[in-house]
Amino acid sequence: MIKIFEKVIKEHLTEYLAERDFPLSYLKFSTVTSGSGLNDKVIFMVFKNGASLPFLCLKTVRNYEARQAILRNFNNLKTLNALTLGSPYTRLFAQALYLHDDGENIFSLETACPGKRVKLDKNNLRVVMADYFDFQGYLAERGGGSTRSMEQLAKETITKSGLSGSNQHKLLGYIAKKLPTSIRLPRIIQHGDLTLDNLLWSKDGLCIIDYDYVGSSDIPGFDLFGLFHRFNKAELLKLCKEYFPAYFKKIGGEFSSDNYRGLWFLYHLTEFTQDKSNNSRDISCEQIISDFENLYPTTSFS
Amino acid sequence: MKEKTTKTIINRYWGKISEAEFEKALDIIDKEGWAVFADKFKDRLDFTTEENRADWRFFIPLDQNSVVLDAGAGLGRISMPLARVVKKVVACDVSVTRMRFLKKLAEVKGLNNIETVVADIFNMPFEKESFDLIVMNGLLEWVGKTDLYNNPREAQIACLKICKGLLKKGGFLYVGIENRFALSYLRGIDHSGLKFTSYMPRWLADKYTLFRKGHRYDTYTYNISGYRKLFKEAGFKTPDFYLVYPGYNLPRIIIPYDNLRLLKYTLVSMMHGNTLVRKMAKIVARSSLLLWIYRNFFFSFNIFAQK
Repeated sequence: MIKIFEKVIKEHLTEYLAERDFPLSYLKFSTVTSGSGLNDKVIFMVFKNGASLPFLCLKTVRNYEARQAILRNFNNLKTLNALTLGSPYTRLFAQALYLHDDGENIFSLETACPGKRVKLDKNNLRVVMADYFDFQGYLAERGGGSTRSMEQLAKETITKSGLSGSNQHKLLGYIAKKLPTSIRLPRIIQHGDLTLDNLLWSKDGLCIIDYDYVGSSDIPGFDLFGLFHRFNKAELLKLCKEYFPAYFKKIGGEFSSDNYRGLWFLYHLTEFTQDKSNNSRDISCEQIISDFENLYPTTSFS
Repeated sequence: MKEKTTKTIINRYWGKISEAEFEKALDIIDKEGWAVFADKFKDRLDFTTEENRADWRFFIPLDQNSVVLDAGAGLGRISMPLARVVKKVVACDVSVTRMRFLKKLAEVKGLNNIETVVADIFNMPFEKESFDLIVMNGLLEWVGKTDLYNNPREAQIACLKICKGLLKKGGFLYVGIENRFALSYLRGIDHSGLKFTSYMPRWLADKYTLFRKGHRYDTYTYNISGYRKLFKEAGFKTPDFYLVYPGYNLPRIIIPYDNLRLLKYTLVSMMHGNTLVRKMAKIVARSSLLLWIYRNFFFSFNIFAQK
């Protein structure tokens, strides 16, 4: 495969390379959570001759049948690139460069994000939040400012979930009765998988990688919920109270209640249905509700 | 190739469970199905087949016309992922029971391009120049356990020569193996079942193993220069070496051995845990000399040798 990689890079990325940059070196890399399955991505960092940092990130799959994973990731990145084009936020993401698909092999080429993974603490969480809030504020401005009520958000999330009609109906009832939240939020694309592994730090700032789930939700706060949850689940509510009001203000949302439960339920539902191990048609709403009640009992909101 | 169907030339078994128990497991698969088998044996037999076990294969040219020999195939962890991308995999092992299991596993996974052969590495029933790739994952260190040669090194060279003969011109031999001077051998046991034997001079390891185990030290591993010499004597001129982390059985990170910059990048940019080992690794990465020294104690290697 390396020979094919090299041939394609040589042919299609001429503006990035000179003769002296060859031979290229390849570092195969995956994190513990990257996945070892047949349909998971395999990642190579590509280095120019004599370079200490990679200039490309190459993504492929173990099995051509799983090519959708590469297509989705590449197209999602192109969407982010288009949304941030000409803004200071282009640096937050890689740049999609080329997609190779010869019917037997598929791989995508994107610029390598600078930076390294660091252990997240409260101080650098603040830095992440500042960068991320600005980026989301920029998208909100571009979006024109129309907002949605909790009822609309719930309807849209549940419709997108892929659950059966009766399950959707029951979930709407559950939200209306038990999880009222006074809120109006704009539609803003979410990264969808804002985990610690996907944050890289450099002297130029933050870079967010892994674009598999970009756009899986457009409910503001979904990314923050995911990040806070993984950062410190015990302090989830505290972190939400600390950051959500400023975030919602930045994106032009209205949030006049401190009842986070309704929002959390929508985030939970989105995560639950995007989990590859769950098949939406087979999930019952009771399962989702009981899972939510177990993870976030009413007492955790007091 | 001479053989198109399963052939048995020899039968030797070892494994986590006894052969009799493994036979029982095969019976359960036949009579009660895979779900019952998985439930009963999940903690006793590692039959998982993570698809990333053969991720090293991206570094060599393989396609849908390639024919592969998986020597020492075991339970098929390498054969399965390879079978998805090549024309045919011949899985060869010394145990009839393991090969029966592998065949059943291939069937249930819908992989009908895996052929099983039970044979010893020194007596494999294949014609010369039959394979595009020969896999020896965790095997070369064990081939010295034979009476056919005067010492383990001779056996290893003979084995590599046999593989070279079986490779087509331009074909690749892949070897996944430990570093003789891996740091982990200072706190764990060597293949001999004893501590520190890989670090000892061979004559001392021999005497010590004889004293403790009643037989010679016959599971030789080497450092990079040792492997280079071994492969050269077997007729492979310039093998390529890769560092593989956490080990060749689970190649999450594969780094070209000769490129210290990539090792540094891995240690500095990709290891974000704050364990003592990782903190030390990051300190090491600050100095080229320390990095060079650290590389000599890395746990294991992927080796590719082209005919």
